[in-house]
Amino acid sequence: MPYYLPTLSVLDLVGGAVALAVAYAAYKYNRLVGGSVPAFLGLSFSLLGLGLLLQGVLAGMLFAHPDIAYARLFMVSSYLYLLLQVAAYLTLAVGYTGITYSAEPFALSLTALLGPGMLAPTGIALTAPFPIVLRRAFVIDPTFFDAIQLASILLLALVVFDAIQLRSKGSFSALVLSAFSLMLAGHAVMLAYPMGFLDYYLIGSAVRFAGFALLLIFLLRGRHIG
Amino acid sequence: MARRKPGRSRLRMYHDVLEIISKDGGRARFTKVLNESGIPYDRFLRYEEELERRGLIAEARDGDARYLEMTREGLRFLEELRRMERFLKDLGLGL
Repeated sequence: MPYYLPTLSVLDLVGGAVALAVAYAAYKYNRLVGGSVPAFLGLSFSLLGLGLLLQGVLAGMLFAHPDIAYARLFMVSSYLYLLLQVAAYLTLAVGYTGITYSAEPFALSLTALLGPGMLAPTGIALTAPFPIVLRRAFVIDPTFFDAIQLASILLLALVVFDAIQLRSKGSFSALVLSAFSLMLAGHAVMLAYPMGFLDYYLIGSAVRFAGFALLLIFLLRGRHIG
Repeated sequence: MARRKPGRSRLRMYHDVLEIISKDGGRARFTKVLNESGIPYDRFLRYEEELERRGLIAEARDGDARYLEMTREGLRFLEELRRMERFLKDLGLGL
């Protein structure tokens, strides 16, 4: 699949740049005006953006240098990226939930939800289309991958639910809600990846990228960056 | 989970005070700002002092009348607050 790595690299790099642009806008307002809300937005989108950029750069490097060293590096970075992703969504969900509701033991309920009994290990058969040297890059523990994706789905579902509860008459609120919903849908599609459906990761990335594209439209049309 | 009763943050109070002054052309009577903002008197005095300390408003007297004037810095701050409010509102959040 010659298109896989460059496509993934572009989607992640552009998505990461958009996430960092959202973080930049949030930090800019936080620096000029203050307030805790832009601070949590800035932190969550920074984590997401850094993770995506890391993954995008390494996917590009692996495409340019398909050797075992880069394959190992890509695999390690994938774990780091998944952890950054879940940390970003957790920050976002805690922030949104904190604003919507009175304090709830959110982290506790999440741990209960993601207990080992819930996530059965899935088989992995996705490396066949790649040269043997590149297969190592995609050998991610399927249980870990699915756990992270499930956590991301749950956290993003919470953000979408909170955003619906908090929905305002802002000019671009429907656009932003659609962006979060597409990111959520993207992670749902990615769940099929460890079951051997390699293309689903790319399709999921593309759907999530569509969400970032909507966020970019929001930033540009609202003149929050530039 | 019970929906939290929406309270006004400090930034929201700043925003409301500055908006009232802005609507009066950058200079409004103290009592008008106090009444329209709906902030209790003691807290209003604290916010007024903070806004003055940050150079966003200045107090002026015209005979017995007491006025609050917005400074150029205050106008810039209000514009940033408005943009930030739009940003957060679109994200489903608020000041």
